[in-house]
Amino acid sequence: MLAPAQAEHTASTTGAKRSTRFFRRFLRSPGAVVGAVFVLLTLFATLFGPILEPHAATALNLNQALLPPIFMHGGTARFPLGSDYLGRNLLGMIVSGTRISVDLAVLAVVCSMLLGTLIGLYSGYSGGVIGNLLMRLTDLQMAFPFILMALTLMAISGPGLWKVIVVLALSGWTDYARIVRSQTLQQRHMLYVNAAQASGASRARVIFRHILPNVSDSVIVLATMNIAVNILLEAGLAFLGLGISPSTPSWGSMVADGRNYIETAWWLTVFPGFAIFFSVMGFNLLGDWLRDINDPSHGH
Amino acid sequence: MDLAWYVVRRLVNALVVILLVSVIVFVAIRLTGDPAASMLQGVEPTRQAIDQLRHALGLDRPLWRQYEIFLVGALHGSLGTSYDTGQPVASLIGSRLGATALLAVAGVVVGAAIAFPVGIIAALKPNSLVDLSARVFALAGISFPNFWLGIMLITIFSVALRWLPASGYGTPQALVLPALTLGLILSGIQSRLVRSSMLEVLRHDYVRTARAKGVREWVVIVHHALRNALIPVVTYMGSTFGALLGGIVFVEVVFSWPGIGSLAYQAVEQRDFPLVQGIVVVTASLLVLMNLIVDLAYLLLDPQIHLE
Repeated sequence: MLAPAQAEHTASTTGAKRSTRFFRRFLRSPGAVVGAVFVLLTLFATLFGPILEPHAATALNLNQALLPPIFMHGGTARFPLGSDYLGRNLLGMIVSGTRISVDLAVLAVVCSMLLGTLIGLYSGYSGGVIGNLLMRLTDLQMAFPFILMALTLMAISGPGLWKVIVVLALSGWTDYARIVRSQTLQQRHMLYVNAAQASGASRARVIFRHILPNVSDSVIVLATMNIAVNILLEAGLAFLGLGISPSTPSWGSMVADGRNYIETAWWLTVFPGFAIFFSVMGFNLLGDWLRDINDPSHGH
Repeated sequence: MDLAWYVVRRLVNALVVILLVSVIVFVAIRLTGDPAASMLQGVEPTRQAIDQLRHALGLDRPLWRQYEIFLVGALHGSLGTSYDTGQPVASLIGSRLGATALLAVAGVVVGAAIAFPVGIIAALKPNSLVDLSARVFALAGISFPNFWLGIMLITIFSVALRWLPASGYGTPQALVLPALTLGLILSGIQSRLVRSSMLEVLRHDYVRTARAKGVREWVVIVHHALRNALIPVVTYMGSTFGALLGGIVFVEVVFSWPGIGSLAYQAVEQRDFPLVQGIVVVTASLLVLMNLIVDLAYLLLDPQIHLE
């Protein structure tokens, strides 16, 4: 997070200068570059996957079932990562799985970020009974066996896209609330906030125009890391058969299906797992770097 | 404020939290869908069959009355009867606790055995190649899907090399792969904590003084630095229990380990709601208790901390 003096300084330098400096620091960090490559690949697959797919992910070729990847004996270029027990193209399935996993993770992050930030701002700035009660809820999360709750909710309510998003969002919002609240508490008594209040700015204007920009750096760091956590959680639910729908290939359910063929067709389990790993690693690397540049004392 | 008063206050707080958790799981199960209807899935149930089942299970009573029955039972040590097996929920859970405790302890020990050396070495030479590798290792640890890591270890050590069993319980060999999976996942979080905490401590004057006095380097690291670095590590342990629990559920399912996690998964699959409810409440109680123990350990570790 930027100190107020520094924040004023950066605001006064031109946007172009600031972004050049940001970009230079980015290029100097190997972790950030690798992370960005993974994230871009993931986003690329999400956006252009449907166009690029060589064969529709769901197309069946029963006479070409369980083909090995291209680099093994018997592999063909038509199925670069091999095919599954129904002769579906594994690469195509992984690419279409990207859409599901990443869309869900990002949508859930948006929900929990909005909810958590609003609650954190409110309870940090206004406090009061409601603010304190809301923060008590975040304490509850520490003792809450969330994974069990998620399994239970998914089992009763049945599979569904929005249900998974709600479950993921519920698991994430407390982190935002806690961090935004503690930073709002710090900012509330700063000179610039007093000045804004004295000049007659409304409460909403003070919170959103003045305080929010000064706490948003941490929120962005948290959101980046949170996408990674959500991809893992969604994959876990899908692995247990409690994801969006058993018929939609998602990375987690592909690992679960491939497990039955682990002795004969290892690629069915290994490659979807690596897809999860690399996309999660990408968001984690980026988040780690963003945290480092926002807090120079951290990590160096 | 003295210690006894602090402990009493924390215990009251813990009870409130457990009660709240029980209300939330109770209401959530009944509001997100009809347990009776979802239990009869697959047989195309008639309205009458659902109503009969609802009545038999007591689900046709008002919500508060159902909760009252549950709460009074819980205070008498009964958590209800499993729909699926007809056995008391409390004894079903009790029979699985040992296996989960064994796995948790083994996993935490393996995790610490990896995390402490990695974290300390990384902190001694910040920004070196060793540190970079340690940071990549830690990030990889939190980026692996835990269920997939378990399957990969099975593929390598059980399927390909045939060194260790892929599942089982009761032999030391059967514990190795589950504990390793859990330990690898935890070591990612733990080594980051150890590293940043050691970095912080090594900057202090007393470390420089100890070195200037000519104290041997490993004594400085273990005696002067590590002892103080442990305090934040212990404090943050509370926040890793959630990750530990999540890890345990998936590791138990993958390795068919007969603990609470696999029991929970079976209960969810069978829609055995009294059992699910019981497991959530018992796990929440354990989490609260462990957090309390961590906070007390924190007080004992650091004599400078005063109760506010």
